Amino acid sequence: MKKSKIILNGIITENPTFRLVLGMCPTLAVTTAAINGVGMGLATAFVLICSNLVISLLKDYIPSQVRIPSFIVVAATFVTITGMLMEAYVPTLFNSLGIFIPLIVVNCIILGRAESFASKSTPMDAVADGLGMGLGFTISLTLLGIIRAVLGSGTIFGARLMPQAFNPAVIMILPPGAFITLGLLLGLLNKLTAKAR
Amino acid sequence: MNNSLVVSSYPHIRSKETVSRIMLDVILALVPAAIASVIIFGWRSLLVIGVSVLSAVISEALIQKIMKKPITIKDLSAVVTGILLAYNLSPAVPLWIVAVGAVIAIVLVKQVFGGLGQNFMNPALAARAILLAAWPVQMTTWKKPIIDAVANATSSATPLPILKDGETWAKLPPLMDVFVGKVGGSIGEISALALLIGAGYLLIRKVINWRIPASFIGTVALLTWIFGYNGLFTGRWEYHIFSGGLMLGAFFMANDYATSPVTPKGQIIMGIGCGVITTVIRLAGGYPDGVSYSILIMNIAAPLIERYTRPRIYGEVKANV
Amino acid sequence: MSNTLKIGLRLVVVTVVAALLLGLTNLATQEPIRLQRIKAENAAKQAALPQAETFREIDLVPGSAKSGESEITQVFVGESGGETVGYVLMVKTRGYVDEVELVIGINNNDEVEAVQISKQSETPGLGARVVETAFLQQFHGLGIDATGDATADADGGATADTDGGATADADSSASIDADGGATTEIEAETETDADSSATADVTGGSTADADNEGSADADSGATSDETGGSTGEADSQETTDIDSGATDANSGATGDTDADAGATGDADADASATGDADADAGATSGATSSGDDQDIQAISGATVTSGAVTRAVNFALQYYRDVLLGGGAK
Repeated sequence: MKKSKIILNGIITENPTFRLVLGMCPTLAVTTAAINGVGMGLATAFVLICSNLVISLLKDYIPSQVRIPSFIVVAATFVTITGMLMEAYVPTLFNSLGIFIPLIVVNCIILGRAESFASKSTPMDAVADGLGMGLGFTISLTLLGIIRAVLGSGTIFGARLMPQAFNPAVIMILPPGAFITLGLLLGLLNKLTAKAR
Repeated sequence: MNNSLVVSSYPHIRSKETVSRIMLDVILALVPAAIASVIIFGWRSLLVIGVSVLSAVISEALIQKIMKKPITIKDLSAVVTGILLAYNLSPAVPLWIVAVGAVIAIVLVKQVFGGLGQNFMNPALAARAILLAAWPVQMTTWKKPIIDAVANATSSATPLPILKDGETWAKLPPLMDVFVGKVGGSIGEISALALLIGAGYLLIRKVINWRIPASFIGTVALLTWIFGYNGLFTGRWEYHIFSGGLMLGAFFMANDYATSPVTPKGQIIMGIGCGVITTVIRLAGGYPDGVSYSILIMNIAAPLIERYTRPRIYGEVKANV
Repeated sequence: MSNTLKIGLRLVVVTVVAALLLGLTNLATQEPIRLQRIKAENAAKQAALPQAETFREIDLVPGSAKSGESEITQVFVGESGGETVGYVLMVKTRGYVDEVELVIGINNNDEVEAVQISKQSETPGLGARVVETAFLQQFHGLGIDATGDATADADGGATADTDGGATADADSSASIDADGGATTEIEAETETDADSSATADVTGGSTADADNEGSADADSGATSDETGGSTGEADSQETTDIDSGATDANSGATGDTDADAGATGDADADASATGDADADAGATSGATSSGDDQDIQAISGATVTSGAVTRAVNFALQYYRDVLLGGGAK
């Protein structure tokens, strides 16, 4: 398969958030601002690329009976490393993403891609898939973050967007706002793609 | 008319009831509360009601046009939703919030789920809950009654927060004031008297039945009396049943056809469930009133209740469980 | 059997390699992370007491380090060139959602230098706004003499500020009480022993304009500050020996908010109202609290959070006066 096609597949055709509806915990929890969406998405992408690569390399070594624990060990290792590196060198981002970094381990995207793609593909394809899925996740989270931050605090990437008279709807940066936004976006995308077909 | 309402479980009989006739009855029944509100708070309450109804009707027409569905604003259901939403708002609320709320109620809660009869929650209450979470400051700015404003200066606070904090019971307004509505609160919920007049009309017209309101209010009265602030059986239940949104909720919103069970037993369960949740929120929760949340929660439970209280078909043998 | 062993061994190899990698990363990042944490902590202390260059931790006096929800967790002496320039107190309190941690700097003039919130997870847009400068700025210059014992309650002032970046600040000698009228109202309702009589009127909201009418011994240090075009007034009247706590709140039509509050007492009231830039917000805040404070607390959490922060600061001042100045611990 062509690498570009694999990458596009992750971003559009099988977008993890809007198509596969995977990784909902971080999607709903961190998207109170666009910047959090970018940070969480990129951190996940990094872990995804690394774990996909390693799992693809080890696919013949790991016996199928213990593949799930092995995948989790691989993912957890990269998550922990990412967490430590972030705390050491980009503490601001680390503070704002808080407890969601360790949660990347249980993000179903990581395990899902390891199981359904990386363990059956060549290392390069696996990396391309990790990149595509990671970018797809990042874009979705950023989109949600932008919508919620604009309506919920009147800002975009920290800059004031709405006029002073605009009264932000606090609900949008609270958990219900995440569900409402995600639900409406999913419905809208389904409607649009149904039309396109 | 293909959308004649089914208001009970089978067996059915054909009648002349139509959606718009029922809705008209509900609107008539809500009029006394509107009059009371204008007397108590002044013309602004009427303005809020007007904006709410207008926004609800316009958004219903627009969304049905966009979704290419037949436009059904003539059935008056959007008008009722608009009135109920306004009744749940403070008379001092900014008008743009009213309009946003009406759009949320009609578009997000009602039409997106399929329109009249398909909504899984009461649109007006769901919109109120969303507004409250979105603009808590504006939504809890109350207006003091214009009548008796000087004589009774403390009555601007609604009685429920006072009830919650037992130490300040001395500050409770006279029960008669609470019953008539000379206290602060939302537009439509302050005057229990006016609401009871409307409810009586609906009961006589058989638009609603007694089951949900009676079990709802009865449960609240019983529980608030038992679990009083100063020990068991000391509760001020007479204040609890006439304050907050209880009368409005029990008679006009909990028994909304689309979102409450149709079986008689199910309706009693719905009322008791609402009463328990309301009391728990009022006595132990962080919010002063729990009527709207209790109804929303029981709305979600309604299909389940219906399933377990379905009447047996004649001759059916009880299944072995 | 040998197959099971093989599978087990491979899993062990995977985990051992993973453990090695983790160990190496830990080794590499241990030092930067430690420095980062120290830096963050020092930055907070430095912000609370900019005069100081170094901080030396001193022992707590166990009995007096806790009061209600507020608890002092650490105390540092701020030093510059070997001289003591003040103290930094780390205080933990309970907000609406979760614990709030504050860093409070007290300078050599026995006044609060600055208050920093080092940790909070309050409601975004409401309680979380306690971190805003407009709110925290108010504590600057709060002294132990001015505060006395009555200080302990200033929730109200805090509220109005958090909610709207509020404006008028009626400051009686008894406490930092009262803001935009609304606040005072809450105060008056709950605290009958407040030590001043302040009546504040906020109407429409962009300006604050203060007025002080008091008897001979009242200190009329009224300040006013105008922003924008609408009007607002904060009046403070000193009253002697009246013990009612008459409270009254009006909110008129949309834009108009009226809040009258009368807390009473006998001390000499020194009222000063200061208008703040954020005037339209003032209107909102006035409106908020004027009606029904219970509702605000429940929904926004802002009252609770800011009340907790204010109490924590006052407790820190009290600890400073009683223990640090009183010679309890040096």
